[in-house]
Amino acid sequence: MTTAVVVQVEPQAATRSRWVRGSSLRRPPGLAGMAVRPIVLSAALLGLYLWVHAQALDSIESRVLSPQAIKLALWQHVQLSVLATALTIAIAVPLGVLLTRPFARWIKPIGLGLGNFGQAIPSIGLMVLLALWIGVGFWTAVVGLVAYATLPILRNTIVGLDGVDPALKEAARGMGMSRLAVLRRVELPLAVPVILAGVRTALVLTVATAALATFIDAGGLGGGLVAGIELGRPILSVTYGVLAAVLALSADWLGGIAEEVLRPRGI
Amino acid sequence: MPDTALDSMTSQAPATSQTSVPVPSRTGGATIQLLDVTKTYSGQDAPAVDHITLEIPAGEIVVFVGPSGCGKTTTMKMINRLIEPTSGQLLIGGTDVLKLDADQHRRNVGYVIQQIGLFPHMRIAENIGLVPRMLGWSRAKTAARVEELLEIVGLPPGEYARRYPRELSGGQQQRVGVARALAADPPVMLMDEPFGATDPITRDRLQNEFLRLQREMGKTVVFVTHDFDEALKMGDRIVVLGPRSVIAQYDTPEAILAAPANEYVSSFIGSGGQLKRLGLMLLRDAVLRPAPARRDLPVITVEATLHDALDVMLENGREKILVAEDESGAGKVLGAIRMDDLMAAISDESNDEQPAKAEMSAVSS
Repeated sequence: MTTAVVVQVEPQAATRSRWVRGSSLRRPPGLAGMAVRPIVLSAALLGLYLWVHAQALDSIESRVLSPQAIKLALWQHVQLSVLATALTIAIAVPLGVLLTRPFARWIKPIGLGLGNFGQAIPSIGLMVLLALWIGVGFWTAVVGLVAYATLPILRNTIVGLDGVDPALKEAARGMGMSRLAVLRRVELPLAVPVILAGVRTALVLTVATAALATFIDAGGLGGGLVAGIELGRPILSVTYGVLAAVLALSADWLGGIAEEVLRPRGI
Repeated sequence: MPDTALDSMTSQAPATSQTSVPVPSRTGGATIQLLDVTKTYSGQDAPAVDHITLEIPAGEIVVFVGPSGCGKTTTMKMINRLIEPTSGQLLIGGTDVLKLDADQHRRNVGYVIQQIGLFPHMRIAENIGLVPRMLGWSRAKTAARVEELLEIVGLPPGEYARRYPRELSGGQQQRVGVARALAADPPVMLMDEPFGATDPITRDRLQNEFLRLQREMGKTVVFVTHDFDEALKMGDRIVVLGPRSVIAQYDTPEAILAAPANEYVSSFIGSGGQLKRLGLMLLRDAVLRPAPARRDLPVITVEATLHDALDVMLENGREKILVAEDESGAGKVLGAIRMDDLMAAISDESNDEQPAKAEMSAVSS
């Protein structure tokens, strides 16, 4: 889950001739492979659509599988996931920065411990406990998702910042950069690939876990899935299940693209 | 020697002629004074640096040499306040730098480290331009300075300015490291084993290039190394440091070799001290005998050292060799030198250096 990147300058004279004059570094080959995923996911959705259309649906099934119902559930699911991930980033990245500052090193284990704690509780249990505490609804689900997804981002932020070569930090300080400038211009840019890997993990985790939001009345694709089981109509579970999976894989795909695009050049 | 300024990889690039290289520095050096400076780390009884008092003359390269853990790097880092002294005074050009803002102070002190420390996500031009930009230089002025510096260190800007550090070899990266330290034309440069991580051939080349630059710039340079031979080569003066950064001897390389202050310094010089002395003496400075009529003797260039001359004598089994303007012997023969002359040079220098040494130790005590 965590990719530790050793940020280091290495002489690469042998491969230098490959680079043309004044060029940026070659793009890693990841982007070309990225084109495969949308094709596969579209094919899966098309297959699902054709299969559902070939079935004779009763009134309950056609209601739950109506475009309006699916759109609403999908929209709620996306809202929950995006909002929760954004909040998680807003909380976990600054917290990770704080915990890697020299003055706060002693509380780092505590911070990581809390993150582990959030993730160790079964997600369904966390949702129910939160609902008992602050009531059911959209925002309770968001809080639960944030608690659940904080760890990967927090941990990767810490690993990413700790992985920056101390010699670079010393060179930066020796040149007269303030501590804040070193963080902003050296440490954070170099930690970006590792932090983004954590964000990607958290995003997928959140999209998957948001299916549980239906248990505390917060909507999402989990509703149709559960209804299929309760009403003995597997077609509902299959449809909503596939939709949830496609959404999670799409989120992962977007995360991968973000990693490639936002990675600083030169490293 | 601009062509030696380029790695073999770039030798096809047009070599910049020495005369076209612009003046690299408009600011000469400044005197550095350490007065009773001590550093004690919290939780440790013994100080890491124990009451050091030292004056580093403006425009000279002073090498701190000593074994690992003797406090030489700590002493150097107190000069740019990466390590804050526990007590004592630190003056650069007469200014008490401990009273300045530490970040501002560091922008006026060049800093080169062994690990080079180029920022991998910034292009070469950005790396070099960082300090000038922090000092508020305009983009245009910074860009002009970056070009000038890349020319000086033998990396044509057209080819290298827009590259990333990992697209350069180790030797080229350290040239950029030196250029970055010189960017804002600081009067003082600190170099912490700057060429320690490079292979011997590259190191020799970088050392020669830096000495050439320094002859033009006249910065005050504090150079830390644990390699005594590097200290002999680079230093106008050498500070031999013992444990807790106590000064064992502070003198010119010649004087230290001629008269080590004590057993500790001798052990640091190691074997072959007299041969090393010969290596510091240039034939150019030696008194030559008149050129003999015979021309079948081995020839050596006047740019060589007495050590090289001895080597040629031993190699050819001759006690006398010719000194010419260049190696091939085609140039004008300037005179001859004998084995006896080498011995005389060693004993003469020893006598000459005695008063100078006494003078120096008075300054450093």
